[in-house]
Amino acid sequence: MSVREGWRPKIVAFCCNWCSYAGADLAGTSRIPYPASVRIIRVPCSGRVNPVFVVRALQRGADGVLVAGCHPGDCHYSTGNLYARRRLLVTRRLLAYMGIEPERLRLCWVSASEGERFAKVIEEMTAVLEKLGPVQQLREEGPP
Amino acid sequence: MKLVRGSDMLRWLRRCGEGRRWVVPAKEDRHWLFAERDGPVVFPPDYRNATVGPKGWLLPRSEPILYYRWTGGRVSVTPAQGWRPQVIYGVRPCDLKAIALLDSIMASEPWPETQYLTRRAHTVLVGMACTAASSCCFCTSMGVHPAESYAADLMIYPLQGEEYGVAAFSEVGREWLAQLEGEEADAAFSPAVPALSLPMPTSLEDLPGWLERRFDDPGWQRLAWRCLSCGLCAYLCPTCYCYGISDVDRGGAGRRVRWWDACTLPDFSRMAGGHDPRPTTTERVRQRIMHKLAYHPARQGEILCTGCGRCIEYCPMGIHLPAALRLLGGDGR
Amino acid sequence: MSWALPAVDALAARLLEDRLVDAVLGWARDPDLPWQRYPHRVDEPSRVGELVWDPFCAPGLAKLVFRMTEGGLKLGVLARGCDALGVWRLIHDRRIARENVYLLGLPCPGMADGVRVWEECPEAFDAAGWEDHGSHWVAVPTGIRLPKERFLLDKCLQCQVRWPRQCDEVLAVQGGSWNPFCEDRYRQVRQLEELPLPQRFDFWRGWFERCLRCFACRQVCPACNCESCSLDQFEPNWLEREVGVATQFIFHFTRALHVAGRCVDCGECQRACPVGFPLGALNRKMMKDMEDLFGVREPFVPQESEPLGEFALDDPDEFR
Ligand code: SF4
Ligand code: SF4
Ligand code: SF4
Ligand code: SF4
Ligand code: SF4
Ligand code: FES
Repeated sequence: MSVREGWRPKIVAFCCNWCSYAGADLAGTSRIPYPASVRIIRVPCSGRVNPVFVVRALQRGADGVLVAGCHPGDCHYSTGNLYARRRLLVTRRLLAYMGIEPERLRLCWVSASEGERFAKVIEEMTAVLEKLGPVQQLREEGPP
Repeated sequence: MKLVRGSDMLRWLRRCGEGRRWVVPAKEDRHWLFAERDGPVVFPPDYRNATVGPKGWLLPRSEPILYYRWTGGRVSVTPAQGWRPQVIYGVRPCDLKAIALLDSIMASEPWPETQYLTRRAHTVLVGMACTAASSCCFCTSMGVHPAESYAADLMIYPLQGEEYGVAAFSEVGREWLAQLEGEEADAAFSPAVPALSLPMPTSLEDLPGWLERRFDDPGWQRLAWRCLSCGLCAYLCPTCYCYGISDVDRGGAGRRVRWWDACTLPDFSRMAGGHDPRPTTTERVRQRIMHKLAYHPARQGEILCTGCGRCIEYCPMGIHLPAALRLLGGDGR
Repeated sequence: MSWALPAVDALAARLLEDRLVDAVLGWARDPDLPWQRYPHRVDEPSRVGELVWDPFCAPGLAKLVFRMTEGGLKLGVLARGCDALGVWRLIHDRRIARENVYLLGLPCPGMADGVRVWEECPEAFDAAGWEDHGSHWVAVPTGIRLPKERFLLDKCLQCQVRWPRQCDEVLAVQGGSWNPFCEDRYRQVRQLEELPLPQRFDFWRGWFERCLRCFACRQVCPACNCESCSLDQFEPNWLEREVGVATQFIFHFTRALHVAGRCVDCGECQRACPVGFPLGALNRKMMKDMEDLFGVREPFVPQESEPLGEFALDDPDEFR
């Protein structure tokens, strides 16, 4: 598949309701520019993200998946983010083992006051994904 | 029958099958299965039959049957076009018999399975008679013969060394055979003798009745308690054809898909509301075996087992048809 | 010294006589197929002779113990290393009550692929008993030697759990020694990890096409014991019934992750699979990561808690 003219990577970002979602909001209200290719899905906690969400997103149009949660120690449910870290670490390695670029999945900590950080993560990820190009392996056969 | 050398036979087949997809037994890792290749092949002597038979090339593991799209409150539907002209080559008599059985099931009124039938109409079946049986074959016990043609268009009989006999059994088969240079001759073919012969408790004709009388026999439980409720036996079985249908919906558009199902799976007969008339492995294993040996024969006069031996060889818990017949016969173990 | 079938029988009989258990689960000969042994349950001391212990006892027993003990039955289980760990998986998952099982440990010399032996050396089945000679099984009294290298079942070739752990009693029979065929349990995993990424995907895609999704691997697995498997659910529909590359990826990815840190490496999934799908290569990848990332020493030995059910503050953070 050759990369289409004007193609921009799509990122699905699962943002924890208590911090990262507010962080993303802050990036918006403070008018910090970041690539528009991100689709944000609000989740109650980064621990809510089932690894299958990641694969599903990659199969249905996303080129990268970001999971953003509270900094360790700040999770609204105390430790959801720490479970998430373990789970997604393993997920990322399994993806790589099964032939999917691990860079397509990223976990990061963004607090409600870190609008700038959110923008920076999205920018970094976009740059990485631009090099990788669209997902080639996993796109599901869509209806015609 | 025409006699021909192996290399000439392959060349002739390849020429006749020009433009068709070739589906042939292929050894992948340690297992034989039917796979798409660019032409017919010579079989190494260790080829008995494939673990995964040719069934999936006529009734795929899953296939779209239609596509739909909603626009302005109306739905438009496009039927799926799921076939390509193909040759399935190297099919053993037990599987050929099974295809013959599927043909009549799929054609039955009032709802003939057009998709299967279309695919079937565009398929040329080249059968291969057995010279050696695998350790689990028991075709002859089921009234199937390892040199019979059944659904085949053409049959190949391996003779001595490089020599083969070829015979035609249909219109297409005869057309193809006419293009083969070679002399008409009679050759003695000595078919395989299957390793297993089942001690049948009764004649094949009386089997349905014999089984119906044993519907509540404790033998079923003694056999099925160790069943894991997987779909392995049904999916490998050349005559199991049950399927389910569901929609893969992608917001306003999608496809309706048909996929293999199996009466041994735990959710096969679960109904809305949760009731399941076959709640345990006992009822489910009984259903599978009764369908093959009692219900279908009683209705259609044909046993739905061709003795291919796959359930014997591959059931992870050692459940198989011979064991069922023995247990119901009252031997006790 | 032979495999001491009499010792197995005697102990099984004693357990039944003393009413320590209601039944004993082991294996029996299949009267129709000389090479086959199937799981068999004995309830009477007088019937322990139906049990058999020889190199052809292929089926794992753990998953059966789950369903058998649900109603409170007290079960004695002839348990090789793989069976014992499987039962412990189910005990830790609260699927089997500890007091309902009595584990009779059988040190295991490795099991043979019966069909293969039948095809290549049918005389082997005339044996009255068997001896374990490390690299061979030797039939008594015929003296026929079966090389393990040639006949071991896949799961036994790769086995690292021959010694039955955490059993109530271990029988003094031959076997249980270190498995020379599994020097490096992560060899295949490393080989795959070293492939370039696109080839790794092609490797798995080739297998996705062959997998029938018959679920034998899941059904036989002691770690897959969920009341309602996510792969069966329609609402939410985690796994479409449709079978294609996309859905097969979801299936095998999910199964691997669900047994991550829980798989006991019994190899039953691999044994059950009719097409030879390398399920072990997925399971062992998960084990390797449990070791590499979280320092779990023997990730295949079930513990009270699981690696993915806990965390450490200094877990690695390799998301860049
Ligand atoms: S009979 Fe065997 S193959 Fe069939 S569902 Fe039961 S365990 Fe699976
Ligand atoms: S069951 Fe009979 S027909 Fe089928 S492969 Fe075996 S010998 Fe041939
Ligand atoms: S047992 Fe094998 S064929 Fe069946 S679902 Fe598992 S991997 Fe697929
Ligand atoms: S995943 Fe396979 S090896 Fe692991 S516990 Fe389950 S059946 Fe055993
Ligand atoms: S695949 Fe997952 S949900 Fe299904 S039985 Fe196994 S562990 Fe449970
Ligand atoms: S609440 Fe934010 S990560 Fe748990």
